[in-house]
Amino acid sequence: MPHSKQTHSLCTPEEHTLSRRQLLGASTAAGVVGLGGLGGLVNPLIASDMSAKEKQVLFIWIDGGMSQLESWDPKPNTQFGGPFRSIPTSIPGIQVSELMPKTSQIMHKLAVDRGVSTFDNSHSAGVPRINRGDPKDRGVVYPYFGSAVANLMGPGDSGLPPYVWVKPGSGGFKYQDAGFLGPKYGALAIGEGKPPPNILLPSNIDQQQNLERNALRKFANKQYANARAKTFREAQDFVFDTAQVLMDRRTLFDTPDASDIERYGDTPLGRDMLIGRKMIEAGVRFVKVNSYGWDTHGDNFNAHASLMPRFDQAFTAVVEDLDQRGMLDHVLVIAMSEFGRTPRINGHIGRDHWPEAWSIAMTGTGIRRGAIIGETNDEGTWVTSEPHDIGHFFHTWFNALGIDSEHTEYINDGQPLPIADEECSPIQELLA
Amino acid sequence: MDIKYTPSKSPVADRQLFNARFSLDGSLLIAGSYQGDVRRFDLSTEDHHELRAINGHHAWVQAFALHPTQNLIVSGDSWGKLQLHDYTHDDPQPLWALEDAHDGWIRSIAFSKTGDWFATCGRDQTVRVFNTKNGKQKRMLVGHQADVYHVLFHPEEDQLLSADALGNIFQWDLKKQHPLRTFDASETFLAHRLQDVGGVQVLAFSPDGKTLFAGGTRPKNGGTVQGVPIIIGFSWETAERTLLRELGGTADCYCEDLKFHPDGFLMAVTSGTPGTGKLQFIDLTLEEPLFQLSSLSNCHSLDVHPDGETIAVTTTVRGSNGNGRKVDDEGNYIGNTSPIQILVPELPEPKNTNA
Amino acid sequence: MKTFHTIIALLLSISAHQLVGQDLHQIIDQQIEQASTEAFAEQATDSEFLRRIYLDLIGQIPTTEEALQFLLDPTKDKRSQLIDQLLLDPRYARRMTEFFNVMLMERRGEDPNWQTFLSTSFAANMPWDQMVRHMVSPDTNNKTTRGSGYFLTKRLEKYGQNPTDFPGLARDLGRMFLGVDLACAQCHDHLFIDDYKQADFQGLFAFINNTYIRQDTDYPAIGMKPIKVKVEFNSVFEEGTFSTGPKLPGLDEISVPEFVTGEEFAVPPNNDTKAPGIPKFNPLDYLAKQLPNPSNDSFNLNAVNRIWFMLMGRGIVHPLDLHHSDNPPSHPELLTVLGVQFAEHNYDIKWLIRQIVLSKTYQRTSAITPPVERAKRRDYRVFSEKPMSAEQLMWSMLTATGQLSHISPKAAVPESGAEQPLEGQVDNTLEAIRTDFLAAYANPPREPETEFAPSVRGALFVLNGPRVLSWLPPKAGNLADLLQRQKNNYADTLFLSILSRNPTPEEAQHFNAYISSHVDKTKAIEQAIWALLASNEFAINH
Repeated sequence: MPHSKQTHSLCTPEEHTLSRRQLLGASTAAGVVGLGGLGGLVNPLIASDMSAKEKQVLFIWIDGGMSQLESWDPKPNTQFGGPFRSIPTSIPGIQVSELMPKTSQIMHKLAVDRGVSTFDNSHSAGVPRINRGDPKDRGVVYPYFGSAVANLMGPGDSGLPPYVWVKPGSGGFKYQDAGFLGPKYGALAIGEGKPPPNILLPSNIDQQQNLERNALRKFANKQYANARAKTFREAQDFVFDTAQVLMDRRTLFDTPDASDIERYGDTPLGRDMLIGRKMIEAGVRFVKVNSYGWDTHGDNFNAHASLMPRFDQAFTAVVEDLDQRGMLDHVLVIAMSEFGRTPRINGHIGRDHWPEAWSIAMTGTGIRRGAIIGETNDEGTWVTSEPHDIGHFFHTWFNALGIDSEHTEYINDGQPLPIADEECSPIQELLA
Repeated sequence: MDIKYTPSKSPVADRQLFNARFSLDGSLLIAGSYQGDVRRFDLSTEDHHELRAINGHHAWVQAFALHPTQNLIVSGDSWGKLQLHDYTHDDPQPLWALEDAHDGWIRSIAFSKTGDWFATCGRDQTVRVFNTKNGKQKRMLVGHQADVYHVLFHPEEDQLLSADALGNIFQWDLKKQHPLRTFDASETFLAHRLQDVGGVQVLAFSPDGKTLFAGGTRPKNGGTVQGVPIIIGFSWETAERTLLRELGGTADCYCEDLKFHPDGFLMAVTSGTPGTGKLQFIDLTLEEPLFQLSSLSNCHSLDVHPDGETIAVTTTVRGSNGNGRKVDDEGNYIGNTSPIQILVPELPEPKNTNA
Repeated sequence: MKTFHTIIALLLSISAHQLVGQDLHQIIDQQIEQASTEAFAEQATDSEFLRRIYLDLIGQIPTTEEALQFLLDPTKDKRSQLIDQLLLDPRYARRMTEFFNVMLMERRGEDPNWQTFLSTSFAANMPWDQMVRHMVSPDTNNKTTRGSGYFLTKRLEKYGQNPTDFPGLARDLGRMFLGVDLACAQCHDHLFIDDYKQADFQGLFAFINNTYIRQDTDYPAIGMKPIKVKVEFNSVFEEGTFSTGPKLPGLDEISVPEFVTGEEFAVPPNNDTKAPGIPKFNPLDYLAKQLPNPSNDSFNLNAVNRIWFMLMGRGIVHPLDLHHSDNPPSHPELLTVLGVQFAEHNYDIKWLIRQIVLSKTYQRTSAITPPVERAKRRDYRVFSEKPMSAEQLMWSMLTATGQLSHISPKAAVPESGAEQPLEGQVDNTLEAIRTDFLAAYANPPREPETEFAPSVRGALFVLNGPRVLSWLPPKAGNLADLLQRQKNNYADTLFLSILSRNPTPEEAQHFNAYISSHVDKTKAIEQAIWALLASNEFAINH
């Protein structure tokens, strides 16, 4: 009997990350916008580690899998090395692909681990897994790194949301990143460099009038708050407050200077990296900048030939800008994908997914400059040094931010949860 | 046309290969490899025995050209090195070698009609002309704003054509430094997200030199590229487009190579999603191809034997893509190869040959 | 799947005296109050009840006149009278259409035939089982109801390169009509939920995996291909291949008959007209019988649970599509009684709604005052606040500002060269208004609107968007116009119109002073209107 073909459209690995508690209909997950009270309290005993409140994160997510062989860890003139040459960098003895000439000049400001080895080779499961630090299954949906930092370190004084996501495509509020922490720790996404719609005060309302009408609104809200539960009204207050902050900060979305565009590159990534820098300057705790289109299964080399220089330009521009402003002292900068790409070159001259051996780059607060660690073999197929999983990096980054990754816990509805994979530990060679 | 064909033995090397071409007398099959050398297969032996490689290159030897009248090969690699060899020697030594003939990737090489000089092009956006005998650079032609993918001389006139990643085709008169004319194949280009996709992959002239053909794709998206393979035809006289032909669907992606068969019809190969590849024989006056072979996997090049019958198509191994580690029984990581399919079509008697 | 309860066993467990002579709403109150020993809050004030019942039954707040009339009415049982009046109001059908459209279609799209099906069905108070029958087995001969096919066709549409999502449709049949989400049981028995078996998913799948969208109609319609084989499936965890014909969880498998090739059709397809054939065996005929059936416990419980959720803000089983042994109802006996009685009353939706809203449980206040402290929603000791849908916000803001009469009629097709609205002007048709509100408040497609999740987008819409701001200035008969013709006591009118209640003395003093103290009274009035429209009390259905 012929098998009735089913495309297993519902059985994606991502579905399998739904927490047991959610599936069991536990009240936490099914509850209302989590504000105050439910979820995400940091263990108060460790609160003293949170003292360095002004630290921030710029997290550059290169979606699809940047090829480590066409970037940080080239193997020129080998079986799998591809066409490109490698070039010397500002660190003697260290070479990178010829496709990142600008980055090669600031290598001494960066730290790169070429011995990254992770588990997942699919996008749908790999992207969330990497973004969550791949913790052991505790029956909860762990937050993405941005939501975690937003929760552990708070929003800071800027008044802006703690987690802003600058990306092509749609904007709006993306609460899914927050996992069990609750939607408050989701990301406010800026899509296509555009501010959220209706961000400008209309021409027939001046600042004074805006203040007055909101004062009336808040007066009315006080009456309602007298005897009502917190959850709904706090969620409402939060979105109005955030809206007002965005209105106050609308210059963040102004068209950039021509000189800035030239330095960052007139590309989607250039535009978004510049907005990312402005958000960091404005004090946003965690800024994620996305670049899409790196999944080069076919025509990998021509693709990276145009992708890499644009990344190279935008990345070095933002690192140099932050450095010049003295901000690398307190901003952690990370550039990574969900995996690398196969050494083997496939039939349509592409590379497929390769979590076995790839690279992650970082700099900024707490990170040792010029630390190029981790090695792969001559052909780039395996890691020959101590391989590092994403859990190691979460430990490392939390520590760089001044958070004791091994003793800090979330308290989720009474359940203590580690903030990073317990079987991993910080990578000391990357820490300053 | 119902063409029968006999697949023959497929020569295969231990490295992936570009551009398999028949030598002048047809006794050798020559192909550049992915790791610094040029491979040679002896077609006079039954097992198409591989001869000693031509060494001295670095990384990808995508570009080479065979002299029209002598047994010489000019080869160029992705680091920018050019060499000249006699490819009939047992252990060929370079007649000359230029380390940095280009800054980086040399994409294509073409001999002039007499073979006295040859043209190159590449990622440094230049087109250059060299003296065959001594390798001296005669000209450097600047004007492209992108990676130059292909060069070709007109079969009769002393005119050089070069095509780039943006779909611009320039015609150069070698006495001048600026392009004489432009042919617009920008339909082959798409700016998608952060990526430049497509461009002209190959140029070919009709045997009478009256039509210029450009092969490439009409890209749909970058990343894992999808697009419809197309051939654009231009009138040599007016530089206007006279023809657009689609060779398949969006999974068929690139028209990688074009050659005219001695019987007058056009041949094309395409490389698409993994495992997808076609060989087509096309009469441009007819809508349907004369012949199509779809069972080949990712065809990257195409050449015709001097005998006018045998065809060589560089392909890939089916199932050689995929995420994650594939190892052999000893735990060694499995690489990839490019079997060269040798086909002998049984063509019917040619009628009138319209190019 | 295990049957969660057997009806007989449960009925026996409920003492006989509790059922005899009791209306359902009294049973509701008993069951709720008996389940907790802690303090229950008082009944809602008239204003609270008024606003809540209007929003829940007709999808908008009352007008100033309606509010005034109710609040001043001394009649003792005015609440029941209001309930009955609203159930007969034409806006009831509109409200139910809006609510069920979002619940069943989850913002996937709009279709006028589907709208007609819903609105005429609710206006005629079509029983729920009949509505479901129409959805799973549409009657193409009935012009009023055949749009019901949209439930299936929209889910059969392909997106981009993806194949037809039959598994998604099977899953939604389970979610919407049985209260179970079997998505994680497609490839294996559910990993955490013992009740959800792979065979259950595959049985649902077998009902619909041979449907297709008809191309020969101008309304959404499906065809059915002849079914030749059972659905075969493998588990990714277990050995062996299994097979099933169409089968509802807990019920017998329907056998797939064999036909000689060429004899599968009662009416063969017509290639000229593209009319589909009518196969002799159509599993949807069986689905239409077995699913909306009084003997189908899951069907009954799911139906009442969803209507309960609509009114009470939380399902007795919650989430609504995750009913299983480890996620039992908060009040199992109550749920059973509701299910039994709904079926006994022929799935009369208005009857059920009426019983629920007559209860003290429904009419409880949402205010928390001592001795009541912070209470879990599932106890119903305090009434739950509920979010307002994009549609409720739209109608309510239009009503509050007195702008209902200022909606433009549908624009005629503009001739070429016709003027576009000038910059700064807003298109005042209902369609344009609805588009704005959906853009500001509706979820993206396939995200259920069951939780309270306000967005910055919505806040900015109210703060700076031209739409709502255009309703503030005085226009003949609207709220600003009314207010500026008054000389004092603005607060009374303001609060009655927008919040459906009288202001407290403090509020009255504050707002009256604000307006009086401004030279530009008109502007001050607009500010005051805005402040209340943007307030939490307005945005929340309490």
